[in-house]
Amino acid sequence: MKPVRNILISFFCFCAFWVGLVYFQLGNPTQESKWVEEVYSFKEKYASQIHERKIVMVSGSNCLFGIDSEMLEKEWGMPVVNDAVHAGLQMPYILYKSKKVLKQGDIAILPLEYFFYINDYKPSQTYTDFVLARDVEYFSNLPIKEKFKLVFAVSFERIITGIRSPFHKLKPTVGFYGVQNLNSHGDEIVPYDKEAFSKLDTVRADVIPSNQLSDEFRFYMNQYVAWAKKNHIKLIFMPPNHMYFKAYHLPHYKAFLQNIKKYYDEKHLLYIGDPYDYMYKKEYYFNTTYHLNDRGVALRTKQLIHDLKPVMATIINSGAKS
Amino acid sequence: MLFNSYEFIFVFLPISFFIYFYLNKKDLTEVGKVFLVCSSLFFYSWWNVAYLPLILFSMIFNYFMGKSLSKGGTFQKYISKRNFLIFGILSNLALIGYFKYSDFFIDNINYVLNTDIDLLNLALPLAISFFTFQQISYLVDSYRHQTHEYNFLNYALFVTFFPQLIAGPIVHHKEMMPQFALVENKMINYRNISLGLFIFSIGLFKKVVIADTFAVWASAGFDTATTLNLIEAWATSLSYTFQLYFDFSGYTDMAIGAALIFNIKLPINFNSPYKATNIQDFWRRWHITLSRFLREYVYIPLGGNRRGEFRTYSNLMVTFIIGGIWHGAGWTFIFWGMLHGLALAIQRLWNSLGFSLKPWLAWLITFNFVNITWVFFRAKEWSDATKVLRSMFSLDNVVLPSVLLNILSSLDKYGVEFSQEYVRHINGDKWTGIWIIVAMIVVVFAMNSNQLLERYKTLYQELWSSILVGFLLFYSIKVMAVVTDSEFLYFNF
Repeated sequence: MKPVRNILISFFCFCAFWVGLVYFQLGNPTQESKWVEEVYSFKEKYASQIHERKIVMVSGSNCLFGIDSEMLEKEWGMPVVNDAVHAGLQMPYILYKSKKVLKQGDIAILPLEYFFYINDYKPSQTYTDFVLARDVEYFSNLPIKEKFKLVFAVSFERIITGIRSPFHKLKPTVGFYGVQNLNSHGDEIVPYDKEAFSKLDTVRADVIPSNQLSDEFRFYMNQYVAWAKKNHIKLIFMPPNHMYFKAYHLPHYKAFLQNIKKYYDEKHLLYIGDPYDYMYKKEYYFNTTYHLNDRGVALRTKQLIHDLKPVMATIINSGAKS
Repeated sequence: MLFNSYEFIFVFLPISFFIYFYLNKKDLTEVGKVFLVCSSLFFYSWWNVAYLPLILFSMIFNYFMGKSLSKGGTFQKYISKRNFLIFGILSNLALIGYFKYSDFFIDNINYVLNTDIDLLNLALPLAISFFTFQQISYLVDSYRHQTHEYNFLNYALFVTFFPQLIAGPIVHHKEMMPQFALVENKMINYRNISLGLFIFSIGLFKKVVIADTFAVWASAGFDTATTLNLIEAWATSLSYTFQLYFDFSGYTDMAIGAALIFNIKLPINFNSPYKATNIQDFWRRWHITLSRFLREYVYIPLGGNRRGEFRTYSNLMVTFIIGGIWHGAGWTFIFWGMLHGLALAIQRLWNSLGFSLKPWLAWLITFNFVNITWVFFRAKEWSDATKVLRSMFSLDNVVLPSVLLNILSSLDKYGVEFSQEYVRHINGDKWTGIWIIVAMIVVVFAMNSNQLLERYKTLYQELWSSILVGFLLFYSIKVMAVVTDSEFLYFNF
């Protein structure tokens, strides 16, 4: 019996030690999470200052870099908050954050990144880093199974970073990603950069292992839709902007795009726009297949206005009813 | 339910263990068996409950067939025992044929006769290849009077016992039933639990840490890359070679470990196959229980090597083509089986002529043969196989790591390129090469799981060895938190 007991004890000791390490550095801010925290704070502050009905853009960084909110505001005559930040935070957390800025009667537009639809939502590095460093409250309120998964998903490097963090002063945020490039609505405005653009030389079409939407996506989205309905928030789903590749016309990809629309149709949710209308060539991007440059932003925003025109006036005038 | 899932490790396995031994402790051994059968069927149904009736039907049919074959029955008035056996085997083959090979045949009929028959698009019932072969062997053993156990409950346990149900090892009735009957096996054996946890943790580590890492590069190279350079092509084929080994042997280790916790010893299925120095040696080390099945139930009944040289060679070919078809309904599998059959025939001829090779050269040839033939085994289409193989043997597209530019800059004039992203089409990086080299060293020079288990038997009472097992389990479970749940490759066969 002793060897079995020793195996189990050592296993639980390793687990306990790991959990201890994670808890020990909980709330220690990290450099990597700094820009995300600052951008979210900025956006949430801006949203809190709006006391009327508003439109909120919810997604990963395709909207952060890819929307001209002022143009939308002028078109629709309603305040627009670009609440999009970083897809690495993963859809469940992005949706959770959106709940903080959405109020009864608001309209949420969600051009969600394509990989959100097939993800199994195992905790990503960005998500674990941000939650442990910046959102202890969220971590504490996670169900035990989710908490367990998050704790075990933390990398060795992240543990070291978290432990060392109190002894290092964080540097100011610089570069493309950060509050320093935000306009008043929360759009990230980035100038052309040759080196960043050169990264696009090696990008390829996304690999989609399955054209079926993941169970996890359905689970989290169903929950969000129920929440929105309860709180009288109108949801409008749209395709994200994405770099165009010929491969996206292959049957596998077409089926995937159709399955997305089918999901929303079955749920009687608004899904507006043809995904191919939001696929732009390389010259409209600045460093990734989801990050548009200023020319791309103008094109995408006009397309979005065009697509939403038939429904937007009715939605705005009728008030929000999910 | 996957062995590499939290549900299995933290819920299913402990609950099954405690209830089974609790029932045994209360002298409710038959109830314990019923419980184990039910929990195994629950384990099977976790994927898709729709196939539960199929395995139940197959089990009941084969049980009565086997019982009749062994004890004799009224059928003997109408049909000879041999024909009754053939009927039983053909029924099993019809079942697997319907689910696994219908579309393959329809597809070929459409191609040859230019017809347009609709495909059935049937989903392959999980484990059908394994439980069908296992039960065919039971029928043959019954025919030969090598089965001495006719209780349906025991038979159900033999077929459904969850550690070996999904992907083997393919076991014989006669090697399992005495173990289930043994009184001391009905009591908790802490030594076996310790050994079981050890081998299970090794298997889990192999699967989630090693195999799933190689899976990324193999899948990208075979399924998504449209072009591959020389290094990428070799990295793709080697990644699959290692993925398959660590995946399947990892699964087997977990199966052996889980069974051992229940005091059942499953036969070994792998014995360092990539150390083999000829193809016959390889098949004595790779998927040993399948090789055993094919030898005992196909090759020897065909005549084996007893009917002259020509028949021996043709028997080898037939056996390996069947082995290929067993793995999947596709010409690439048949071709893979043919290549292995041919290699065995050549080796036989080679040996009969008295030739020999230096061991290192024999190993090199064998390993490369296996590695190259896996390309056909893995490829979904011929075009995938030719894409990888052409790039492996073409110097038209050579991209070397840019760190070699200073040393090998003279290769520029031959069209060789240098880039930091020399394995980008397979989503690789500098770690790809390191992983491949380390895996090669491990499979060729390191002790395998069976040897480690033997060593552990003398060390399991040492504290450090328990700590090592605890760490392996902890680390694998930690990795499981971030990697996507992936099925074992042999679940598809």
